[in-house]
Amino acid sequence: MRLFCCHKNMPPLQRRSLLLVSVAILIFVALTEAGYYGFRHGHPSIAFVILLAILPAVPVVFVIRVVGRYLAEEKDEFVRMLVVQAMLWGFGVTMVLDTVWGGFAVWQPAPIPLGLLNFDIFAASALIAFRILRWRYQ
Amino acid sequence: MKNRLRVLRAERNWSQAELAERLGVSRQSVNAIETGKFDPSLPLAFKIARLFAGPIESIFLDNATPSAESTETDQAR
Repeated sequence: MRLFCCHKNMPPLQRRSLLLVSVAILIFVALTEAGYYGFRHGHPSIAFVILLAILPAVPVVFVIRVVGRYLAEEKDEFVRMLVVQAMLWGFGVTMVLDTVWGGFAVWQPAPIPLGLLNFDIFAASALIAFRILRWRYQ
Repeated sequence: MKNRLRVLRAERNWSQAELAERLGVSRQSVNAIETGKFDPSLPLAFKIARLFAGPIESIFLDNATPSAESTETDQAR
């Protein structure tokens, strides 16, 4: 857990934003898992299918809002730059994996739709990138 | 961009953490500026200049500006 957040010197703004993002990620994972099993193992009605498809987007929008507010309120321009760089790494990793996965999916149908995991991959790679970037300037 | 931040800080016996606290930034920011890996914005550069009671150009050295020595040589020609 310490890898991603909550070391004792973390400023309150960073701590609060990271906590909100972490909670949103957990909710996203729970909703996508529920949706995946709902689609695969149940026979949901069309209204429920729409709900299962839309609900996971809510934490994504919430995270974008939290990160946007964080970037607006963060006074330390260097840390702000690191966050933006980390997000670029996150986008990069997500797009590369999506492209490779998509290539394989053309050849053979994918067992798991990677689109469902895009946000998890983005969040994990951005958080790891942020820790590595910060570590470089210790 | 080169700078004299490390020298000025050492003259006052401040740690990177102390300087960071005085500037209201993280210690990593001070480290990145000192090593020339990050150029501060104009407001932060002014803040640093105010803290060390000197003009910005005495702390941050513009790489594009020819040195005084080469200017004198040019004038002699």
